[in-house]
Amino acid sequence: MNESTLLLVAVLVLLFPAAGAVIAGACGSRWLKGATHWPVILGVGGAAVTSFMLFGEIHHRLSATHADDVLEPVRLIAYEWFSAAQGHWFNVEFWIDPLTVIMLVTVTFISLLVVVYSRDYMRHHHHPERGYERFFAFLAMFVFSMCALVLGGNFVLLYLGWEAVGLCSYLLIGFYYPKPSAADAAKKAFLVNRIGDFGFGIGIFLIYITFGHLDYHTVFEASRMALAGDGAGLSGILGITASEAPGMIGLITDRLPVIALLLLCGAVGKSAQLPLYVWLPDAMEGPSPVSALIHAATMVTAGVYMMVRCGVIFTASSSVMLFVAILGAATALFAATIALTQTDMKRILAYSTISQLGYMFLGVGVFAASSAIFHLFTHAFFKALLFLGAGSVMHAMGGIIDVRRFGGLRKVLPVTFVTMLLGSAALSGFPLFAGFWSKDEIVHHAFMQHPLLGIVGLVTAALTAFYTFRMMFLAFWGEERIPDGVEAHESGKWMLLPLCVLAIGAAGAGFFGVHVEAGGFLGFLAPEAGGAHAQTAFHHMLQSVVQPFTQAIHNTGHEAGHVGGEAAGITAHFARHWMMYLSAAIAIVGIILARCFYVTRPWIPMLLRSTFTRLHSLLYNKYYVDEVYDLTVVRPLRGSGSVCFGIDEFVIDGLIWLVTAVPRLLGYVGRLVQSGLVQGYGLSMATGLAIIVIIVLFA
Amino acid sequence: MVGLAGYIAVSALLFAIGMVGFLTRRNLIIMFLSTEIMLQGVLLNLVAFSRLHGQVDGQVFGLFVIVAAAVEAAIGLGLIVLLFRRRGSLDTEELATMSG
Amino acid sequence: MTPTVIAYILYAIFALGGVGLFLCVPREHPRRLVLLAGAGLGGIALLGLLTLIAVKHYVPDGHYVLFCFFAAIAVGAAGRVITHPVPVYSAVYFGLVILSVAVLAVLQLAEFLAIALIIVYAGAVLVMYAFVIMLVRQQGTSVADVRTREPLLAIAASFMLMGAVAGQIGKLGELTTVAPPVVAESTAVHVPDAPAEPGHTDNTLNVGRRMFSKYVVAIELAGILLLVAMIGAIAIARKRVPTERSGPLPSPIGQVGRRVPPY
Repeated sequence: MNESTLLLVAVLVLLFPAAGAVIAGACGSRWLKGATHWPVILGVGGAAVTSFMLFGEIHHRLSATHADDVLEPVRLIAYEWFSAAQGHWFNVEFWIDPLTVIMLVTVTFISLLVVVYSRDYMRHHHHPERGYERFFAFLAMFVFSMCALVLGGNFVLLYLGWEAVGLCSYLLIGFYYPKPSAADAAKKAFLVNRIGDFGFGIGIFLIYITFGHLDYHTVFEASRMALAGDGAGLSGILGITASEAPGMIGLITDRLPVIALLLLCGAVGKSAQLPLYVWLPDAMEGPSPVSALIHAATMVTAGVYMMVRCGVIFTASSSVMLFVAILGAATALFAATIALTQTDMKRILAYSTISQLGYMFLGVGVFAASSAIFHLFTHAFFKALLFLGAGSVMHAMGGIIDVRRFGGLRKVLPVTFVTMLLGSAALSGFPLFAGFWSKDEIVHHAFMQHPLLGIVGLVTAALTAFYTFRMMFLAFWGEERIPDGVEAHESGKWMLLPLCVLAIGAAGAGFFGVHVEAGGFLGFLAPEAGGAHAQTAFHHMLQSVVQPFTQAIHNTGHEAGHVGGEAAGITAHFARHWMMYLSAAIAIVGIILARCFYVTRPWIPMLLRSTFTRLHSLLYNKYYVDEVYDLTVVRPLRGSGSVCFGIDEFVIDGLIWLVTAVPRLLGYVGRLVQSGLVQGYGLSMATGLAIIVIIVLFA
Repeated sequence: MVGLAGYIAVSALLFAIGMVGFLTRRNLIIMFLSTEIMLQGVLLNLVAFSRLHGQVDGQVFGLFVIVAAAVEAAIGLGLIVLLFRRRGSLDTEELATMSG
Repeated sequence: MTPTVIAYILYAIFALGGVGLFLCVPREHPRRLVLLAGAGLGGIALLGLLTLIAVKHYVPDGHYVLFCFFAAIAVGAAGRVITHPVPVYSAVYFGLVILSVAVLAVLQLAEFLAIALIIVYAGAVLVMYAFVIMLVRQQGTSVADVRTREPLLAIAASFMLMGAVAGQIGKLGELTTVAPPVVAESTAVHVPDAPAEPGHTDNTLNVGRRMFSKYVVAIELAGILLLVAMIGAIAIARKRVPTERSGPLPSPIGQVGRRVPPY
């Protein structure tokens, strides 16, 4: 595949869902109606196929390059977009590297399954729900935006996609807009994301001010050279004179941590980390497919994607990285504890998503970027599966999603049960399932970085296993309880098919990251053992992308190596193997504990709840974070808003009233003349004529 | 023998009186009559100047004035009857619908 | 007398006439004394005007007497048309105006026009007015007939305008001195199809010749205009309109007796 074909395929990835969205949006409500899913399924399917083509091409190129060579990302310019000052063009350009194609494949594949699932989910008794075509148009628009975000070759396109997915998220959370809670949730998501995006935007401005460019290539190369102190290269890439280069190096190295923090701000908002995570649980007001696609599998991972993409910027400062790691670990633990007591199935999963995103941040923060992406990849499968499963349960239960109100659904919803069980196993890190591999990698790297981070990761893993199976046991075990007036039934084919496909993914996606040849599946934990070749397929693919991270850890590792010497190496080796058994054991213990609590001995949680009333209500009320925000942010803002409103109402409007009074007065005078009587006008004419004649004759 | 001046003075007077009538009276029929008086003034003026120049063009124009007056009376009076049937009044102040 | 003096006298006469007319306009509570004063002032003004014309020309011949007589009738009747509160009387006075104007036209050697005036106006148009007045007769004297709008302003504007124009007559010195027929004859010689002296030859013939030679297109257009007017009048008369006399009116038009702001 040559460059122009590649460009065509990349454009097609965007065009397919865009066309689907336009067709569904324009023709849906009038002509297609209940068949609106077809253009969207075809569009997203087309995007998936073209994404796989891109993936194949990149994979092919990767295997063709020599092991020690770095695969240069493919940069394609679709067209010159607009020129800013200094004659710099902002282009619609694509940046295709392994990270791009992995993201693209994940996004489009999951989207395809979700769209297929939605075909039945958005129907009640075989009749399309109100807004059916709107839903599919938005979904296709989301896929387009997400692909644009991932494919974009500069920060402008990144920001564009970033905001566009935010918009789609807003529209889809508020899909049931007549419901006040849905409208509020949509607003909340939008506003909270604004806070993060504000920082993100400032960060991009700062990049432009610093580098004068916004395309990845220039920015990353310049950063790399500045960090390496390569003045000549820097002046070459930025087009500055050699004498300016030293100053520029200083400027860039000074600013990179600031830029990283500002970009992190956007990532925190989009990926729902502390303290901006509050929108994500509320976002569950949207339809379940939306929760599965946007608020679990794809959009929320955009922050992680962005941080890995901007690895050069983030790794420039180890304190920033440490901050990211701590933030991720704290979010993971925090959200997991909240999930322990929630009763709404989708909310449990939402907090679980926040927790898992925390893992990804932790992964990035401990320089294990490829592990973070690996976790992103596996998480997309099993979390989408769990959300779609929850949607299936909700569909069967007539819209009820509270796990206290039903139970023992094993027999009623067999397929949903089996697939969700697989997903839960993957989420809780049961050995050999997807989550197990990816999560353990992150925990392992966290241990390497700092034991405390690792311990937090392990504790969170235990909590994850516990709350996941708490949900499963409550919903599917025990005696069969179904809410009154609900005729429970297994969902239709269109919904079960995606569940099954995703279940296979949840069970098997982890094996992409396992190196079978080198020391069995345990080999993945020791990537360095056999040099570059020992890396697993997944990590090998990402090698070129995460180079900044490996470079950074390599540098610090050297220093540590000098100090610790041989002993440190042995500890690391020991940790690598035992860690895995430990985490497997933790997951299993968590599951057994959950079974003990909620199946065999239900009095234990009762006893705990009555003993630790305070703690329970603290967790149950999500640490009162919403209330705290309400008191500290919302109320003061509303107060100042009403003050401003008062000023506007009385001062500004008064001034405007004064200004308008003049023409109104003139108009009043003029109105007197307009009597509507012909004779009045005639008299004016006669008078005017008389005056003119007198002037002409006597002047 | 009375010269041009006398006729012009008389026609000006007729015109002025007609104008006053048009501007002051509120009955549509009287307003119409007033315009006819104004036309008489114009006619007299035309005749006087026709005599002054010794040509009959002025008189021909006078005839055209009569034609216009007849047309105006036919249509205008028809409209007045219509208006009266519709509204029951010919008071112009009651017909002022376009007041500001 | 210089033209300027004549002009000033003319202004005075017009002003006097205006005041007289103002006193005579219809009022809700007319006073005989005021009406008489107005008529007297108007009469004085008219007399002054006619005297001025006599002073100007020194020749109080038969033409002058006829002119004075009919000019006085025309102006007086015109004044009465616009001051009489009853429309029928206005129409009758209007007939008087037409007749006297016709006589004035005859004095100016325009017999054809004079006859046409009498036939068309006094004969046809006036009858039409009479019919219409009959058709739209209201109960007693309408408020609209006894109340006038802004008479002072209207009279001031009209008489100022006309006074200004008439005042210029004084400046037409050479024209106002008797327009000698000789001059008219000598100019008329150059018109090939018109006889030398309009006064001494057949006026009707002259008018006819001129109408059907130079103004033939205009005559045709006038004919079309009359035809169109006839069709239009018939179309209007045939139209059935819903009466608005009973029931609510669709627009604020029907606010009877609404105070209209001064203009």
